[in-house]
Amino acid sequence: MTTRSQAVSLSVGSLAAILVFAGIYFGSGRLSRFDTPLSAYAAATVFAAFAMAYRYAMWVQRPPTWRYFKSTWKLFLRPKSLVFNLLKLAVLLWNNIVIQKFIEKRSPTRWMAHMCLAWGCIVAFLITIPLSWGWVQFGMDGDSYAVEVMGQRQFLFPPHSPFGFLIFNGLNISAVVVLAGVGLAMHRRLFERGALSVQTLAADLVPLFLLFSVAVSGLMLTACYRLMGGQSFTFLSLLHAFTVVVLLLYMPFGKLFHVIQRPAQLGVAYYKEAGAVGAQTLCARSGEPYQSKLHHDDLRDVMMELGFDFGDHQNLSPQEKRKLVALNQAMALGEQPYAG
Amino acid sequence: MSDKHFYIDPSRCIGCNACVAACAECDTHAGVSMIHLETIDRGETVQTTPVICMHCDEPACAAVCPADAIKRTADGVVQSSLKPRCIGCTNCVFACPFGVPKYDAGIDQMMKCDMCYDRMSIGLKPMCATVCPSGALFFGTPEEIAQQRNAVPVNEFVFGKRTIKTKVSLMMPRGSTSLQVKPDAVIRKADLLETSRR
Repeated sequence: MTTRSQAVSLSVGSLAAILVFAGIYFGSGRLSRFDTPLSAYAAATVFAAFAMAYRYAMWVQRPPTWRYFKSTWKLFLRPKSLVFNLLKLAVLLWNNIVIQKFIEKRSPTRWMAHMCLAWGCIVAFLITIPLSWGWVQFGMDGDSYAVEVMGQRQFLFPPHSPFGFLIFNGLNISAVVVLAGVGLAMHRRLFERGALSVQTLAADLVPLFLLFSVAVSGLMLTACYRLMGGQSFTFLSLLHAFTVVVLLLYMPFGKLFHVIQRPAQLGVAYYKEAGAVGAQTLCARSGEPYQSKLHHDDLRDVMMELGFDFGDHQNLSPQEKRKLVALNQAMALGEQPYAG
Repeated sequence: MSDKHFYIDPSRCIGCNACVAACAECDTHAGVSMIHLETIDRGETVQTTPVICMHCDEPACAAVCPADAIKRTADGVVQSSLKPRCIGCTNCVFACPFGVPKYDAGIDQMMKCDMCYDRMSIGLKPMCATVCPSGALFFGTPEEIAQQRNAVPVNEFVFGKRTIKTKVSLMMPRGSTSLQVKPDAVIRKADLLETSRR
């Protein structure tokens, strides 16, 4: 039986897939500029769009997520603070998404690994997706290379120039960056005892294996025509396409879905800021402020919705809650010195 | 999987802080102590209490997590938030009826006691239970605790209208089957020290 949230998610997922399909169809001049050898990549992006939007919609409809989602957008779109919010968004995007400051504070090595993986993948997708959707083509104009976007000529560049080198090797460079990230991450997963005890094959290692296979098979294409005289190029290109398709199909279901979830972190910053300047909740035992009223009331409502009716206990600060098990044990003991 | 269980007895706590120091030695949260050691009321009593995660069967922290970042392992241990998912909202910090999760603003992540999962999952004692000199934190088999203590383990706690069952047990006087956690519990005037002097 399909629940309401599943029906909503199916609609959202289908809409996303239709939009991507329409984007490919119209962006490629009704498929006239579509590069058919890349159709497997394009088909995988359509499926990935459906699955990611479906999962996102399922996730966002969970009671605590939906409450944050609604509250944050409401706070963000307040007309009197919209300009400030947009400026703040630029800062938040820079700190949390571009340079990922919060990961650097966990560990510099971890930050380096994540920056390599994130930016290697972002650059690779920015190159691959427009090409596989038929949005970008390269052509010759005399001795220069011409870049066309959706059939419109953008600029020319000489192929034997530093810029040309970067353009032609964009995917190779991003593959090397991804491999550096995979190496750093695998080192942690192989030798750090804390990580070893909680990691799982499906959740933590498979994504690294996938990124590794995409990067290596991609580099093999260059190695093939540069060093192997093009031997087995067809097999290698199929192998690379297969690894990329598997990665795209895996994205909505595994650890890599956090790429889609992560912007929620930015929304929380607005929520916290609004809470900090608003009224505060006082602890029923200590009388001290401990939580914004906005957060307290929202959380209480979510907890009631989820069946966690803790009554007055919910009006206590975490510190006072921590004392209560000992205090209630002491009450039960009466005059006994200890439980025995 | 281990047949050993965690038992806590706040009435035995002497506030030595050994658990706090040892906790930071655990590899799953190396260098960061996850245990809380609370002073109940310095003016009224010498009583202190260690607070570890009770590892609820139905964890409120996980239920209220908007990012679905808090997972419970097959052997019943509620883990720290998953780093890629946690968005630092602090819902878990304020929803936990025991006040356990810690939010670190620097790394924008919630971390909590995971019963030293690197040790516990292979049958070793969590660090705090290894060093506790008074038995306030005890990790062992049900037979061992029954043999060594008069008190009985209780793992059912009532908060308001909700009963929470936990993996960790609290030592209570004989005959107890659950603990109604009353927010207005008074500070025990006749504390451990005064009573033992009589």
